[in-house]
Parts: sequence; C-alpha cells; structure tokens
Amino acid sequence: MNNRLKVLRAERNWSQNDLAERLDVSRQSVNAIETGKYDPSLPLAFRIAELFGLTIEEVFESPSRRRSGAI
Amino acid sequence: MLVMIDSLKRSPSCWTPAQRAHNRRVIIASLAYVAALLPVVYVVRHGLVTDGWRIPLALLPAMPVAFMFGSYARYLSEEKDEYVRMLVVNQILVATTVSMVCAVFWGFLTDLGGAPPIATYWIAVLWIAVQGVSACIARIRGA
Repeated sequence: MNNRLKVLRAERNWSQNDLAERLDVSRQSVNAIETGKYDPSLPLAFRIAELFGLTIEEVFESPSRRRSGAI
Repeated sequence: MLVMIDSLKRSPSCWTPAQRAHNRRVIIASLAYVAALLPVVYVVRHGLVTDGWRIPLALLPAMPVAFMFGSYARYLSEEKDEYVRMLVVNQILVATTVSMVCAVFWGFLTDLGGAPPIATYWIAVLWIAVQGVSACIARIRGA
C-alpha cells in the first residue's frame, strides 16, 4: 500500500528512529511501512495519521481507488 | 533459540522489550539444559542410577527445552510490535512446516523403508535450526 510516510517524516526532519519512538514501534516497522512491504493494522494506521494530524486517507493511498484511477 | 529478527546487525538495545524478555528466558533455559544434560548423560551412561530414577532423570534435560518452546508462545502474546510479530510468526510457520514434513517422511521411511529410527527430539532441533535460518533469510531479504 502506497503512503506518504517518508514525505511527512522528512517534512518534520524526523529520522525513522524518531518516528518509531513516537509510534512505539521498531525502526524496522517504520521502514517496512514506508517502503510498502508491510500494511499496518487499522489501529496503527490511526496512530500514524493522528501523529501527523491527518486522516488515514491523507497518509495512505487506498489500493482500490488507485486501481480505479481515482487517485 | 533467540528471536533472530534483525539480530545480525541490531545491538541488544534495539530489540523490542518482548524480544529482550524472550532472549533472557531462552538463555536461562539453555544454561539449565546444559547444566542438566551433562550430569544426566554421565550417570545414565555409566549405570550409576537405579531403574526407578532413569525416567525422571531422562526428563530432566527436556524440561528447559519445553520451557524454551513455552517462551515462544509467551513472546508472541507479549510482542507489541505487530510487524516484528508477523515476521516471527512467518518464521515459526516455515520451521513448523519443514520439521513436520521431515518428521512424517522419516516416520514412513523408518516404518516402511528400512531407515534407522532416530530420537524424536531431533524434530525440535530441526525446528530451531530452520527457524534460525528463516530469520537469517528474512534479514538478507531486507525484512
């Protein structure tokens, strides 16, 4: 699942470690989510979105909407 | 076996709290295993025990190993990092599949194919080894 995590993190000058600490997950997890290797659970996706003050849709790209070309 | 996620490059301080707790339990179990195995093998092989003591003594080294497997179950329930937990679950699935397939194949080979019987604790050894190899492969793949 594509997402804007790397951009949002860079805008705040946060390293992957910084973000991992704020989310209470491992840096490995942040890296896996950023690179699209792992889709976070809904609770973690909410935590990520809330950390950046955004909605989930503003952080993560819906795969179905992407397929239909809506995004 | 220690949880080997990312362990090739990560320092112990980078492990999740659940991994640290699991690793601590596994180290204690391993030490207890060695401490139990060596004297038990010695006294049994040298015929220094009566028949009544053979069964409890034979089970003594098995206890720490059983504790080690219990630690995996506890680890999975304690791990808060969902991605790390998913990786470990995948490694356990691979290890379980490989060891069960080998156990079934060797069982039929022993029964029907004339292969020599081997002690069943080798299934546990194989499980741990495959789990370790699977963790290394995951690391190399950049998981």
